[in-house]
Amino acid sequence: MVHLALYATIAGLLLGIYFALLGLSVTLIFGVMRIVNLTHGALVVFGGYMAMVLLDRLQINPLVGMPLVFIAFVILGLILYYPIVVPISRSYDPEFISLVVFYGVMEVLDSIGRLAFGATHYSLKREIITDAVLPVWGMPLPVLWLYVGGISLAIILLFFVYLYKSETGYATRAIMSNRDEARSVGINVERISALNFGIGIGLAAIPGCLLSYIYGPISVDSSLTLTIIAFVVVIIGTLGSPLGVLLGGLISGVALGVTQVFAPSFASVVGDALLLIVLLIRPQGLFGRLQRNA
Amino acid sequence: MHNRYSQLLALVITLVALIFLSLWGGLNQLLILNFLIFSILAVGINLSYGFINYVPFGYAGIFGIGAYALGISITLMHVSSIVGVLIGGVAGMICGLILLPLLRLKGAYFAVATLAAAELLHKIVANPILAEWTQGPYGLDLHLTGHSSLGLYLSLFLLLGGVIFTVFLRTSIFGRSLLAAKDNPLSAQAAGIPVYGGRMIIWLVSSVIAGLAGAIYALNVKFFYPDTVFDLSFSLFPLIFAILGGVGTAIGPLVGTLLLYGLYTLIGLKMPDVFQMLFGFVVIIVMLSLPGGLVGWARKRGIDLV
Repeated sequence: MVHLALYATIAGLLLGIYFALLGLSVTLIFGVMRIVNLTHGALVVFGGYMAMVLLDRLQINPLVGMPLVFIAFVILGLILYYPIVVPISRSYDPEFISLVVFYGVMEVLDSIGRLAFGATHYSLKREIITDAVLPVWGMPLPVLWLYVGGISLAIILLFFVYLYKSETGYATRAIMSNRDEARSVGINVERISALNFGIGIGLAAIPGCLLSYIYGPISVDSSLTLTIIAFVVVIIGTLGSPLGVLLGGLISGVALGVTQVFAPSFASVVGDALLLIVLLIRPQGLFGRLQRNA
Repeated sequence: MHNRYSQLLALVITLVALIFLSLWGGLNQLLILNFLIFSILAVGINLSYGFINYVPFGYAGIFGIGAYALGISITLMHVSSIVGVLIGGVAGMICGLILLPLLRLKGAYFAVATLAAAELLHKIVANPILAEWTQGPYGLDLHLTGHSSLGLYLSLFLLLGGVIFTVFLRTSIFGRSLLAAKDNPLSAQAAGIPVYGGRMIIWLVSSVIAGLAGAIYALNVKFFYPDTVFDLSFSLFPLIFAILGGVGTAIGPLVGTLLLYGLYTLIGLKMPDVFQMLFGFVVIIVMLSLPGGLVGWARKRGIDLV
């Protein structure tokens, strides 16, 4: 029993690191532009599609393909920024309008996904990375999960280096804490925002490459579920706070891992329940100051 | 004022005439019933969004609960259809009461929270543990025969009620105080308007409408899965219909539903993916360039509509 709980916790922690990676994009885009990106899950799935095409057509290992997917989606983000994001940030209520506009974008992407790839649920070949299984107290732990956890953690750390050590990162954090003051000290808010939107979209596609290795199949049917997981992660860890994302990911990952083992029929409601509880009890998240009128 | 009621009368006559003409012309009855259900939902969401500025993304959750309340009361308690529909309304109200604390959240937070609540309700109802009552994911069969026109009359009646209530809000002191509170809650409160009470009333009315609509829908289809009645299309489609037509107006949600649901029956049934894409583009364009919807656009050009 104790071993089972420990096993569930280990699996949950690995899943949690992946969830944190899933939340990075949402928290960056919300933090910088106050945009609620409902398209997030669809972008993750499209990242997965691209990794799949790269693997099937060009025999590129998904781990090698990941930077390519990232760059392609950064470019997509930069293209989308001017026609969609600029008008939203000038509107009277960016948070709400972005929610609905990005719902529209999600519908467009989901339909493109279904037209291009059909309703099939795809999985990337596991043996191309590793098929091995590690026995943990007699229970099988796929080595691939360790890989995914490690890669996710590395990307998250890389992101923190960008945010806390680079010049653009400083400017980004300035905009996150106060847009107008950032402008008044000479930061080019529009350009930094555009860049971060691109990076955010790219960061949404990266977990897509790993999706079928730890969470579930690649299909537009799971777009909304993925979006909700990402929202849970960032709302637990305070919207717009990159450090909180890691903790939010770990909490929701462990919660899901443990329920999957002990109460599997309730596993699907964990995310929604967590989101509701956090929003009702502590709408500002775990680290939030009560600055936002949530 | 006089002008507004004559507009309303014209609207109702056109709507009823349109429906009976198309029925008489041999259009699929289920299509018309669905059109009515979506109009009702658009009117219900419009109450919440247009008058108190709360957008229930999870409206489908209350809709589904209404459907299941009718289903369970008919299959297990063998009540009549009308009583079942009323029970659906009561269930909607109870749902609204349970979700009442969410009104503390604003804007996108409220929307996302209700979305999560709807998914939660969906997964609870679909959980095999409750199969004894809900048949879990296997769907509920009402074993009904006949009664085919009852759903039509009930939905027409409910739609009419919803529209009249909206017109009442547009013309009464209560409705105007709600609009004042929507624009600036603090000043409204300082002026003695019971902001929270008003919000609660509108939210509950909106929930009851969703519950009733769900029950009538269940009565129409007679057999449904959790995935059918908790489908998020039941919150997102009507929301977009209302936004396209113009929120906060009586005529807007109907116009929006007529246009977009019309488009859906034209191309959506044969090519659902193409429709979905077009629909997405409509959402983006309307939100970015037509904030008041079609009615707001007309109003800017001096045509005053209810």
